[in-house]
Amino acid sequence: MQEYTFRKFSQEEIIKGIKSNNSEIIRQFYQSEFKKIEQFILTNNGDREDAKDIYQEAFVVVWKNVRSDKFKPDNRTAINGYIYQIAKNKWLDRLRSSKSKVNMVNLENYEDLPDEDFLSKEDDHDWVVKEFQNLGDSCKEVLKRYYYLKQSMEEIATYFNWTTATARNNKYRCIQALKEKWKSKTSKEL
Amino acid sequence: MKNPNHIPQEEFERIEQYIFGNISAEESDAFELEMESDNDLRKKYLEVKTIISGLEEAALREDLEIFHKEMEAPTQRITTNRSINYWPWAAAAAIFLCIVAAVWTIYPPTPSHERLFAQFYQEDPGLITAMSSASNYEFDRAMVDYKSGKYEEAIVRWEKLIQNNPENDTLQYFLGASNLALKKADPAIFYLNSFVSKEESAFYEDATWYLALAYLLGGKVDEAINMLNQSQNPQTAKLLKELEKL
Repeated sequence: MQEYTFRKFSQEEIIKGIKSNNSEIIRQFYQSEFKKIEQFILTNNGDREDAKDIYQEAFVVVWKNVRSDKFKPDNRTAINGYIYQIAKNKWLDRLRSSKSKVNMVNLENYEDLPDEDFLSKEDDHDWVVKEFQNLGDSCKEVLKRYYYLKQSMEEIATYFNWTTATARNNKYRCIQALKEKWKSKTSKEL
Repeated sequence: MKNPNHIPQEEFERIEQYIFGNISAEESDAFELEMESDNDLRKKYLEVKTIISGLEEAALREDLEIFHKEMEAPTQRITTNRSINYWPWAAAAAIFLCIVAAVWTIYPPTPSHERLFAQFYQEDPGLITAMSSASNYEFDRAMVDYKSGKYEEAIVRWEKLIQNNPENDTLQYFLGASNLALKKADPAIFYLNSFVSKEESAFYEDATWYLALAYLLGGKVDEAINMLNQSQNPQTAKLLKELEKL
């Protein structure tokens, strides 16, 4: 089998890649930082599943903070230290907490959360994240290509063998499908 | 947000273009001014923003799962080997042998070239990271299918890509490998045959071995032997010996 070709990206490239959702750069950054964090969690009473869980949560935080410019690097490898620190803090928080799982963002218990206004925006966001998984494969693919990979309607149409107008309508229909689930969620809560 | 607002398609797209920053400064200013006086529009804007940010994170998380599985793939193979409990396997093998014996008496045995194929064939485990350009999303999607054993789906995706890159050896190799995994000898030979003159390719060694196996599967024993003479695979000598017995 051919050797795996890992190219180390510079911090600048990583930040640019995260901002533009460049799959290749995100993959390499994700895969290059995991081992250190896994090692830390495994030597601190965690298992591999904990490591994956904590690492992915930390990764999403870094992704968000880079995109919102909350993270500003002060040296050339700051982002590596940053993700390690977030993961470490998240794991220590979980260890410190006696009811460890309850304190984590628990999407399964979403519906039990109080329907307070100040929680609303964050909750709706989390709800969309979770509900995306329940959409059909084509909808997931269309939405991912448009919103995450920033592909144009023309590119999406070519991929699915659709016309551009069909791609545009299907994208809207998929959003509507998601909102239908939203309606049934809110009617359950009321 | 209690209940999602009904947002007609045109309006949804207008809000979306504002969020993406795809409209002119004047249009953007006008939109903001409108939001100040129209509370409904402001609510709709917040809703679209929430949907977009949620979808983006969901798509990222889906990718992270894939990236994680890729990292685990080689380790899993090792741990599986280590933790095998041989008794159920032995029992299963015994039952299997009884079934084989029973089937043998009812049906004539499989042709020996197919038997040899089954004995020597092991599918290519796939790539973790293949090419280094950023446009590899399509390729990677297919690779995920390939690694999950969904060879038909992988073939559909890769065949679309190879139309624009007919000489890409990674695509040729994995299209050959997918067809071989489905035991389709002819298309596997079609794709793998292009490696005969590509000694410089990183896939050359594996491709010649699999091409030999594809010939074997298709009953073309002479061609298989020919290919094996070019192959560096450690199993080559053993398979050649078996083929002499045919």
